[in-house]
Amino acid sequence: MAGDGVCFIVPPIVLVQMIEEGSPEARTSAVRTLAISERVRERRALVRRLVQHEPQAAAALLLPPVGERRTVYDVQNGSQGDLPGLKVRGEGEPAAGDPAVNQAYDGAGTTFDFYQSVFNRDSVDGQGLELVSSVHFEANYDNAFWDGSQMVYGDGDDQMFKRGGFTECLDVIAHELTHGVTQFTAGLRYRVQSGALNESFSDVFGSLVKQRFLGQTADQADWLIGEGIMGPQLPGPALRSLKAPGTAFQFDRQPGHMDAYVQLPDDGDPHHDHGGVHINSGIPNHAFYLAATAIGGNAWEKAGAIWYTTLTTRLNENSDFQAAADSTVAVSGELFGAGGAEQQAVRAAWEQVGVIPT
Amino acid sequence: MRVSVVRGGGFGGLIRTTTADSERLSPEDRQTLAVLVRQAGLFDTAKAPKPEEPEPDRFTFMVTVEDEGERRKIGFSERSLPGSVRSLISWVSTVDGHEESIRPPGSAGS
Repeated sequence: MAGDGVCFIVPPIVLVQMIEEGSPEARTSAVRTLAISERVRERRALVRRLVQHEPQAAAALLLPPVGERRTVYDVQNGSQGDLPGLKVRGEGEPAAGDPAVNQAYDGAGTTFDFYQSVFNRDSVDGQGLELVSSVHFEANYDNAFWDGSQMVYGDGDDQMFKRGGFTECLDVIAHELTHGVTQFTAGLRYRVQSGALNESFSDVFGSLVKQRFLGQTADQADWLIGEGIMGPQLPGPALRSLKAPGTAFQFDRQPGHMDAYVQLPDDGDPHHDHGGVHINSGIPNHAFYLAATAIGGNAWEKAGAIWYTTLTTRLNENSDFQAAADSTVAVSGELFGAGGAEQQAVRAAWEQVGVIPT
Repeated sequence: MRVSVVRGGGFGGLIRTTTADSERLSPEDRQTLAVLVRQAGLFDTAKAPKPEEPEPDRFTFMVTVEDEGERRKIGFSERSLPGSVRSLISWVSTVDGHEESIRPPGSAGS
């Protein structure tokens, strides 16, 4: 029988039952059948269930071998239904001829390595999820996104965004992958304040991945997002600035303080950006910049740890700016001592942006 | 006939408005516009698409068609955008004589 373009001789759910309850022979046969499923997303969901019941079988036969972390595909200007596309480069394979492929590969690796080394996090889901990336999505597509299970990159249109820019820019890649981290942890809803926080965590970790890659301290970092991807229609060096919201490029209107919070309805009207998620993210972005620079040193070490712990253990899908402020203040006390310099810096940062009243 | 496409969201979070007005198009393009609008079936839509949970950095679209006194305005998420509507949007964004503007959310002139 067929479903969604994949043909199973036996329905997947029955295969899982065979694995859970069948004889050793039935089990091995079922696991092998599942392994050849081409629909990655389905396989992943089934693998997770398998891991609960037959972890050794899953590890041996279905999960990518150690080091098998990244795969890059070329969707060849195809659309959503064509994802992921044609496999071009698997983990450990040599560089491809296509620079977009290699950049997506390297960027995913650098981001994976960041979360692994700094926070002991195993991929975006914390359980070794294979990082799938597809390049050349649609034609002149001026965007990149995490679609819930993989990275997707357009080529840019050379008007708003430079051709090839999205895969070139490490903070763009890390921003999008961090949406994946948020999806598997706090699950911040992409609307109004929880949405602005969702955007902010992606900018914060996007910047931190870049800073660590370049070996920059908080003082040395430029705190810009999307530097180098701006096309001629968007005059200016970058898309957003955590250091100085509202100054990154000609149409940057991000506020850096609650006094300038932009009230927009969450009504699906594209003018309203789901309640201003890309606009009001400037406020928590700036709070992170203030905290990180007040604390000093490498921003990912203390400020980053506070923000990471908050995102992954304290916030929920409806958390607002107040909740983020309260949680980061509490977490900074827990991690580095109540009343310590770190906690004071975090509290002062949120006061400075007007979220915590002074 | 006048077709206006507002696109919001994406990584940049900017609002891009593109408009194709028959009066500014060549006779051939005027015909193409009419065909694409018909194929998009925007005047046929009986019910509004159901609201969906917004996804990070995906686009949201609003397409407005005005023709001989009738006006139809329909919203789409990027994920639910039908191929015929995508073709219309793509064509409107590139045809000779189209108008375009970009601005951030929350600025005047929505």
